[in-house]
Amino acid sequence: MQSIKEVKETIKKFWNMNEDQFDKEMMDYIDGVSKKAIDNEHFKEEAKELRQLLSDLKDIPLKKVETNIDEEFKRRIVKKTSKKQRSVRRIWPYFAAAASILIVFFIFIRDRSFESDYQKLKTNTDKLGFIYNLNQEQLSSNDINWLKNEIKNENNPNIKVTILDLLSNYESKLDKEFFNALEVETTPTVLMALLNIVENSNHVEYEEELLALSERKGLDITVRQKADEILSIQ
Amino acid sequence: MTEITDEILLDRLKKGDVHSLGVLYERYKTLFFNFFLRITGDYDASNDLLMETFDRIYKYSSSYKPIKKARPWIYQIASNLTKDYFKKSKRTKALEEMNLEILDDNHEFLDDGEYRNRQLMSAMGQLNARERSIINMYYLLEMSYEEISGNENISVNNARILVCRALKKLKKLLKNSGI
Repeated sequence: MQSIKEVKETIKKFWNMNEDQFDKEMMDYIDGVSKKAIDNEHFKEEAKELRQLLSDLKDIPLKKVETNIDEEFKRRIVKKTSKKQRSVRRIWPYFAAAASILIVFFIFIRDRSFESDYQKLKTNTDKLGFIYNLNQEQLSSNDINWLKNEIKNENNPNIKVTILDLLSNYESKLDKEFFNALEVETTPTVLMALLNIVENSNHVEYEEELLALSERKGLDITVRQKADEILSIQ
Repeated sequence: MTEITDEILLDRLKKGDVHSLGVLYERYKTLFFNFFLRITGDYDASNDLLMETFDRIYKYSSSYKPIKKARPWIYQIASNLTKDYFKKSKRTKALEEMNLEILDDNHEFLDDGEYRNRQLMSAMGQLNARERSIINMYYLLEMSYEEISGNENISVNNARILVCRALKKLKKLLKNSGI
């Protein structure tokens, strides 16, 4: 029998290959990839012994898994199934919460969309039509605040009047700041629309503003009469 | 009747059918248990590794892509677990004592075959952990060199050479023990 050193020397001398190449050839031969054995006694002997060794290893009987392990696996399966069901139950409230947030989000988007859609309009005719159509909608507090600001910023009296007509439907949601518009507003049609809202509201609160308006110099006579009329009802 | 393929079972498991895991367990339990036992030489550890393998198959099934072959994917999980085991236990060298009870419970009446099996396992225990793993991947799990190379992060040629070297070492150990 050759020593390992002798074997290595033989491999090098006769086949001009290193040990790695020799091992690769050996496995190819054992696996049946290469049908032809290297013509050497040592190679053939080694291959034969390794094939026998592999055959012996494959013959070692497989140990069976014990039933208590199978039981443990079944317990784990049951646990996984119930965990899955529990997780669905656990996820449900979060899902419901997320859905609620989405609903609120969409409501918010819808609320914001009136203003953003309005800002996109370029002609006064379109703006008037848009605000007129808002009579068909239920306005939120955000919408009302936006429209109150529009009265301050808008120059076109027709648009202002249309907004005021719309806001008269929400009289209870209008605050003192809104009625202060009486002090600065000069256009008679706008003032009349404002006074229509005051008339339907608890006007006692705005007595001072009404008196100031009534005494304003150069005020349109119809407006003055309307203001006096409201004050007289008091 | 045609057997449901591993790929279909993994795909079903991915979709939430836990029953498919049971079918895979029945299909692979004996093979994996013996794979772990012949590498670790530890009965209890092998049972734990077996359970952990199927826990991981369940856990990672969501990442399984049906275009991949299922068997190498499953084997990789089992093989990675043995690596983790040796990393944790730091028993990467030869086993001090291979649990020979894994072969037969009756020590007194061994026939030639049983005696040789015991010697084989005893010699196997003297290989280092990587050699034991590679030999068992090759002859027990019948993994290809490509699959072994993927698991061991080496080239296919090196996988072939490592299998050969481990087998030669095992043969030498057996010879030294007089067989």
